[in-house]
Order: sequence, then C-alpha cells, then structure tokens
Amino acid sequence: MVKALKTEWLKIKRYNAFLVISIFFVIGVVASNYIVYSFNKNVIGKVDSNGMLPDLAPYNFVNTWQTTSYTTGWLLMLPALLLIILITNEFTYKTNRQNIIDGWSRETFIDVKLLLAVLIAAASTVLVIITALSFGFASGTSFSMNHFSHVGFFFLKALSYNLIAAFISVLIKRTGFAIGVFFIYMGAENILSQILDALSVNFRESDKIDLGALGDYLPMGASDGLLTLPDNFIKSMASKVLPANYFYVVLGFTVFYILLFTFLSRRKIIKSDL
Amino acid sequence: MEILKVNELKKHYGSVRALDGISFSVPQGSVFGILGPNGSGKTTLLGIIMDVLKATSGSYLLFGKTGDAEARKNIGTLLETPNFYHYLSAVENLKIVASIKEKDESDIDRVLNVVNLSERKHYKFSTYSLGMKQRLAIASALLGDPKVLVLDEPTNGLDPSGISETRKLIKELNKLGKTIIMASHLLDEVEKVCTHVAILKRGNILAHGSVDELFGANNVIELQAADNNLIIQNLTAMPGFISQNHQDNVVFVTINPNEITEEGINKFFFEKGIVLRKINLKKESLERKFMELTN
Repeated sequence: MVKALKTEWLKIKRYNAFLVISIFFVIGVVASNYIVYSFNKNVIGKVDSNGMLPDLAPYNFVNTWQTTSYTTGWLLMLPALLLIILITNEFTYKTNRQNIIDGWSRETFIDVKLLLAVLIAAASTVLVIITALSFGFASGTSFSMNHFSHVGFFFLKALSYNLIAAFISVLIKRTGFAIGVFFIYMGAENILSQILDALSVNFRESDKIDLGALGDYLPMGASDGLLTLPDNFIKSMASKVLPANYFYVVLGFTVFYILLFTFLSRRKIIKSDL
Repeated sequence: MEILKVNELKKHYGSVRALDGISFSVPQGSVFGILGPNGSGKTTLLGIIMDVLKATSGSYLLFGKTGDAEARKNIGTLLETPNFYHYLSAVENLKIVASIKEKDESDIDRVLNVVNLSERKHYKFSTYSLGMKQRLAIASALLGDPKVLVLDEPTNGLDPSGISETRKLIKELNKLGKTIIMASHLLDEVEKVCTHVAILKRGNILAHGSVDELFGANNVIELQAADNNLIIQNLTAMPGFISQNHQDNVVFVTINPNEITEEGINKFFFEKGIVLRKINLKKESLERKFMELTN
C-alpha cells in the first residue's frame, strides 16, 4: 500500500487544485479561529457586565482543544471537496480504467483512495493541533491536555465527511455533479437533523421518552454531535430542555457510518463495470 | 504456450448480448487480430480481459493462469482511448504507469523516442493533438518492454505516416518475439499485420485461426475474354472451380489452388475454343471473406 500511495502522490503533487484548496483550508482554519479568539478578547472581554457574563475563555488551555476542534469542524467541506475532485478526476480522465489495465487490482485502486481520505483527515487534525496550541499559548495560559479527546472527535468527523465524499464520488463519477450532490446532501441532512431534534424535544416533553437528539444519528449528524463547544452558561441553561446526550450511542453511530461508507465505496469499485 | 485462452465468455447488458459465449486462444508469438465491425464486442472482450468490465459468465486465462493484476503488469495495453492525467506532462504520466507496473523509470525516454514524442515530452497531455495522445498511449504500452501487447485500434487518430510507422513497429515487435493482440475494424490493417485472426460479429466468433488457414486456402482468379458469358457457361466443368461472380467486365472465380493452376486454366479454356485476354491469380482478399462471413 505504501507503493500505491507513492503512485498516488505522483498524481497529486503537481495538481494545482490540490495546492489551492489546501492553502484555502489552512487560511480558513487559522482565520476562523482567530475571529472567535479576537471576538471573545476584544468584544465580549471588554464588556463590563459586573460579573453577569462569565469569562468564556475559549482558547485558554482548558478549552482550546475543544474550541479549535469545534470551530474547525465547520470547514471540513473543504478537504471533502478536495477528495471529491481527486476521485472524480480519475473517472473524468478514465484513468481509473488505465490504472487497473496497467496492473493495479480494483482493491488497490479504491483502498489507496480511502487511505487518502484517512490521511487528509489526519493532516487536518494535525492542523487543528497546531492551531489549538498557538491560540492556547497566545491566550497566555499554561499547557493542559484538558478535553484533548475533542481532537480525536475532530478526526472522526473529518474522516466521516471524507468517506461520505468518497462514496458520493464513486457513485456519481462526475466532478461538478458530485460536488453538487455533496453540498445538497449536507444541507438536506442539516434540515432533517433540525426537524428530528425538534421532534426529540417534543418526545421528551409529551411522552417522557428521551431518545437523545435524533439528528445525531444521521451520517453527518453523528460526528457533528461529538463536537460541542466548551461548557458555558447558555449551554447549561439549554440542557434543561434539550434531550440527553447519549455520547456512546453517537460515537457508535459515527464508527458505524465510517465502516458503512468504506464498505459501500469498496463494493461499488470492486463489483461494477468501470 | 497459449498467452490468452478465452472460454465461453459472455457479457450481457440486459437483453443485449455484447458477447455471447466466445472461446478462442492466442498462441505465443502471434499477431492476433480481433476483427469486427463497430459494436461487434471487440472492446468489451478486451475490457473483460483487462478487468475493467465484469463478465456475465465464462473465464479466461493469461499466461496459463487465471488473469489477475500481476499478469496485467506484464502486458502493455492500449484500450479504446488514451487515458492520461490531463494536467501532467508525458513524462509525469509515464512515471505513474511505471510506478503501477513496477518498471524502471529509465525506460521512459526510450519509449518516447520510439513514438517520436521526445521533443514534446515535458508538455502537458492536455496540449497534445489526437495523434500525439495516441502515440503516448502506444509508448505507455511499450513501457517496461512487455512480452505481450494488447492494442485496441492502435492506429486510431494517426496520420498516414503515423499509421504506417505503427504497423511497422508492430511487425518489428513481433519479430522480436512479442505476442500482439490487436482489435481493429480495419480489414486492411489486419491483413497487413496479423498472423492470426478472430472475426467477431454481434458478440459471436464467426471464424478464427491463422490468416493463411482462413484466407489462403481459396484463391481468386480474374478472367476476361471477348465474351465473358462463354467463360461463365464453361466454368462449372473446370477442375477446382468453387464459385464465381462477375462485375465490370471481369469474372472473379474462386478456385482450389491444389486442383488447378493458371496454366491449367488457360489450357482448359483454350481447348474449349475460348481465348482469354486476362488471367490474374490473387489471394482471396480479407475484405471479400469478411463480407462473406458477416453478411
């Protein structure tokens, strides 16, 4: 697989879109976290509320891993977009056929793409770690690993998004169409998730059944549900009316979807005509 | 040894039978032509052998074993269209091919030289003309000096000199002992290049074997006299006569060359009091045979 990965690198390293999207992502991650950091420091931090507003301190070391993971989680469509382009390019140029004709097995072809999904998620996670450390130190607090688990949740979310993108790519095959479907799906799942969450609140109030937030059981919703903002007074007030957070169920769904999309993408490439 | 052995291969798309149970084998060292009109199943057949299409049923052996990725690494293949990364140069594209095939990159310059692309080797694939793309695909097939080449319409998109160079190249490669499996709808191409042929029509093999076996047994002779009707009337009595047709004041007679020679024909008609103006022996053309088989 290392050999196949080296071949894959030959395809990617001179591809301009790879460089452009990567740069956009890095700038986006730093900028979005800086906006949150700066807003908290320069706006909320300067309001004299006589103690009514507690200090949120999102990038103090106790919170920085969680805040950075959550904020960066909103930008994961960019690496997913890159992966869609890299996979659908093969279909556009018919190089998926040529790679196999030249001597790759179908398994190698899809496995190296799925490995790419993992590596892109891992690279995004490294970026989160660097960003969290930088803002943590910029906040002038001392190092702590508190809530570092959220960096792990970020990796799972990045991987989920990438694998959904990979599956849509092998299914749709055309770049523009696949990108469209990915974003429409993202929007549609978000709307469905809001409706399901509202239903969950309803169930809890009227039927006294707490199923948790049902939106967290959807493919993207599951990994979204893992990442939350650090605890604050608004969250603790809202938690009184919101459904319970069944963390391990949500984590279970996340892992299930990761395995499901891996399986479906492999099956599609291995079984069908190319 | 047989390089490729195809056994009862079927490929159905719904009710369409793209391949309807075909079997044949390709002997080592041959130039094996797969000949058929457009849509006869040539590319489907090669696609299955290269694992980009899945057969409905049937099997095939490459180098005497079930065909797999390892076997494909040792076959140079050009299937249907040249497939390369548009944003990469010829050299960068061939580096990818070399990496997949596990062949040395040092062979890249040689193959680009063979197809006369050395001067443009650092240009992006997207800037290439159709003929250059096709030549790059041939270069890619030659990479690593494989013992077997599979070429689907190899002269597609090439200009006349490119076509003639490619045919020459195929013959030279064959002389070096390489086995070449070539699909074509160009009869003339198969006739000029191939040692063996399989004729495909609507997913069925109509005939296969060596070119000499299939097309060499019967010869056609062109005859002409002052009154061609006299020739036609007497033909059935001529030894070795098989069939005849006539057009443009010439009678085309298919004969068995083992039973009669040109001299014998001349004598036969002279004895009947018919003086021949023209007597011209030629091998039965592949085109006539092809039309005969496919119509």
